[in-house]
Amino acid sequence: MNQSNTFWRVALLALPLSVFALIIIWPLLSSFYYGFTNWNGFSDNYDFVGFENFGKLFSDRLFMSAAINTIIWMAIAVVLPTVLGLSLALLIDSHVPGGPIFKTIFYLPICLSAVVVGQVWVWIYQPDWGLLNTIIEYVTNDRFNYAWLAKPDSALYSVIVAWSWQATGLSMVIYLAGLTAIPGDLLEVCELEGATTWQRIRHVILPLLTPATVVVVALSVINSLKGFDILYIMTGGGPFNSSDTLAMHMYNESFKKYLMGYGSAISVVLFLVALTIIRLYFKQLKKVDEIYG
Amino acid sequence: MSSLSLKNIKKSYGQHEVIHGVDLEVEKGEFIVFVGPSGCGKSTMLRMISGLEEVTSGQISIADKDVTRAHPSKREIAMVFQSYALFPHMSVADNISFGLRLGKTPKDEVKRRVNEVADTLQITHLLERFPRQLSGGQRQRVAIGRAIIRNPQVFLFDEPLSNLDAALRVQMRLEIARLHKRLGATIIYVTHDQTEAMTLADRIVVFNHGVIEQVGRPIDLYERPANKFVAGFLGAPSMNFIGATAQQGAIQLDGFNITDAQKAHANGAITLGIRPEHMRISDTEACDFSAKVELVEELGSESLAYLQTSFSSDPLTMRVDHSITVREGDMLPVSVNREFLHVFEEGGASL
Repeated sequence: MNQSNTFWRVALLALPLSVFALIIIWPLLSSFYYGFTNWNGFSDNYDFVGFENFGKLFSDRLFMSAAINTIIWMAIAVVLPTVLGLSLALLIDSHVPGGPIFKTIFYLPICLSAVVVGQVWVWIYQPDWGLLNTIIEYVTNDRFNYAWLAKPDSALYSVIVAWSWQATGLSMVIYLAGLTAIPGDLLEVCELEGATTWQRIRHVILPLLTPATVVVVALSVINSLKGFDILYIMTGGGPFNSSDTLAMHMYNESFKKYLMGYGSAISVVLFLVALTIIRLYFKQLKKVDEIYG
Repeated sequence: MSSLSLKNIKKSYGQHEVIHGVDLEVEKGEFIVFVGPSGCGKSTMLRMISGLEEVTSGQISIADKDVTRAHPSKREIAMVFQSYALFPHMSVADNISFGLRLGKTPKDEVKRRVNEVADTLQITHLLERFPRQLSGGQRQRVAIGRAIIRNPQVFLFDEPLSNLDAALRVQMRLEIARLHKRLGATIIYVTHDQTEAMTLADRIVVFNHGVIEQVGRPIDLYERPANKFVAGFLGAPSMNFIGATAQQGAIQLDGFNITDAQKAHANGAITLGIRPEHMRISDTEACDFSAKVELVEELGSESLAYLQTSFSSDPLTMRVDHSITVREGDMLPVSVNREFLHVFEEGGASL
């Protein structure tokens, strides 16, 4: 009985594990390997170049600007979906009329693929007839045809706003779950002690939402590191690489310039950054668990 | 001066009325315990006094001020919850001083008052700790500290000992009694534990189905219950009830010689009530009835014998001194202390 149990355990685990190994572990290890080569992506002949690719990163102007853009993206990703998601969750939790309907509406973008979201926002930003410029024209009563996605100054930020629009729904749902988990009697203590709405949020609700905030921030940061698909649809990293992120830069180097070895080196850097963030996340999660668990 | 006054308090949820008109006057410094089974309305009543629950109709006054529609924080009350309701992210000192800090009380004064309260509750050494680092009893003390520091007119305790284990419950019960003596505060205390009610209360208020069944000193309620519900609710093990008929005051019962227990008003169907301690094993000649022992529970200091009789379908519970050995299957001659017999009319009211 025990032996046949063990057999089935191994057999049932083997299938998902082999799929995981094939599509995650193997490519991951391969990219580590190719990061030390000058492979072009299809040739059988390539050389081992040691740390040359990694050394090149420091002198690559585009890598540096992509790194800065990624940091900007991460910074805004920490603030925007977190603050918006929290605000919406607090609003919906306060039993405003139509709360459940708004909850569904705000969550809907999560169900869309990034490609669809990107295309919708391309239309919103369209200079001549896009929703944004139409509203600005309506409000200012003046002609306005700023090309949000075609200007180096605004392209990156415009994409981040679109990305945040989608990410906010997820933050809101996580915060709503966090709010439900706050014991009702703690809020009643606030009422008995005469706390104002702001005092209640500041001294009780926000600290008690720390576990939710850790999850929201970690997800936002990790997802912002992966920020590629929506960028690919909306700007392709342009104009003039002004909205390039590390993920985008890696794609361009690997699949447009066929520098697969160099692209792999970028992916290794991205992986190490993600790993560091995930480690920080787990460390923080442990700390939070000790206080609130 | 009345510390708390409830006048015809009613509470409905939609069409469903759960509190059907409660009147109560509480004197300053009194320890009042609300008891009753689950869903009887005692906690709802407490929450209405605190202001956490709105009153449908009636009037609540605290220290002669009408507070029926006042915000909870303006009622000069403090509440201790069953779950302690301590903020997990705040130290003990911060939990205790939460209300003072919200009110922007100067830091020196906050510190002084926190130390005073901690001293009273003997938790000074815990002030820097967090709730997760405290035992159940210590947490409850902190919760009480947060109530004391408010210096309220009335303390409200909502089943504060229910989450503690039996030994700690007894200890905390004593501490609450001591605290009441020291502070001389008015306390409204909700519990479903009748031992807490009997030991702590100056007066007990027995709730059932949203009405007050009886108000009085614990011993009065025990000895002279107003009805069958109060008689059955107070006392552990609870009173034995035996269905019987009465004719012109004389109670008829098959195999139970009780004709001399005259109750002048009794007529028709009645219920006889006998507490387990008011029955004893007697001589065969002088006994009221004989009964077969169905089960014996040894409690150490005494035993509880469950007796099968010819006149009651339910077994009767009798307290037996630990020095007397009783075995299952024994036939026992039993006599009843006539002085403490209770008789209830068909509707349940005491005769």
